[in-house]
Amino acid sequence: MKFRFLNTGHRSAFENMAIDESILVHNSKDISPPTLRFYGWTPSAVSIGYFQSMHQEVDVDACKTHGADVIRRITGGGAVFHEHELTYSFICRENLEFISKNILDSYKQICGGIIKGFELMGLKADFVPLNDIAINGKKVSGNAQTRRQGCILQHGTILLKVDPEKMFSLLKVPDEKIRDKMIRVVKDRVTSVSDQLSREIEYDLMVGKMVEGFARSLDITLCDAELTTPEILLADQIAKEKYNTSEWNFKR
Amino acid sequence: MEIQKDYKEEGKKLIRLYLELKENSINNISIRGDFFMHPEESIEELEKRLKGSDFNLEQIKGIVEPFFSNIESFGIDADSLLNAFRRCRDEI
Repeated sequence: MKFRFLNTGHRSAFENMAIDESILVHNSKDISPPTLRFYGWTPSAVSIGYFQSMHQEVDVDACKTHGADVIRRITGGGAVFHEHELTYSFICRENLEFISKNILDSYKQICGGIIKGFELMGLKADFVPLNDIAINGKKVSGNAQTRRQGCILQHGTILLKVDPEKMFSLLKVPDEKIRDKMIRVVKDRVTSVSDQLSREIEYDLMVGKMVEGFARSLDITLCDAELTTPEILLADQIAKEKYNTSEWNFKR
Repeated sequence: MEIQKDYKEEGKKLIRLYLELKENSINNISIRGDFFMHPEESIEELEKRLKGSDFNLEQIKGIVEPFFSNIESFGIDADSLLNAFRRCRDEI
């Protein structure tokens, strides 16, 4: 099975989410091939799950002060602070034979690519249902999937470095008195590739390992390509009309 | 009257329920949290159905249960959502 491989580099939250959606729309019409995309976030950003309330989860003023974007995803799940990370999206038709129709099984299947990528770096990672990947019992990757227009879109983060203090300066905590406790909990339960390897890991090196991991784990052939002009045009439109609007980001 | 309650069951995701009550009926509602629902937009349909309903657990159950039997969800189900409503009722 042939997949297109895209590395779209570091972009704004609005571009990133709009590109994922544009690829999905084009793939659903069979105009674009199934795609594995890697990307990063500049400026850093906080994304929230489809069902979350922006004001309840995110200190929007603090994000403004830090220059971090805020955005709502089309996928469920929790609030994520995106800074030093590699993000992927996996987009294909739901009816591809090798992808499980069962949503939970397909999470595990797609996360298998990341787990294999970690293995190629000498790290043993495990899938933790519903939607996490852990190394040595600590979360290193969170994933979220939507199914629409006959397609699967799964995107997820791979933490390259983690900064719980900064994370909690941008996210709201239920009670100010437990802010320090929550930072300690994240330090205990969340890890990063740099922490695990005791050295800094570059985005590009990580992309290479993960591409190989996906190819081997899912038995797909990845062909290096670029976004098409129609995909770029639609992504620009979706960014402007949806992801960069208060109507969408603050709708719940 | 506004009620805001967070509720989490073991092995499930966090449900953050916001209710605005007017003379014992649901005037406004938002079911928030880090759960998953497919299709995502169905949550708005559920909220629409609950709006205007009496704040009565039996009546709410009659709306919530058939809704969940027709969609796919992870980290939230009819029972956990009804328990979240129960917590809200205990607030009154």
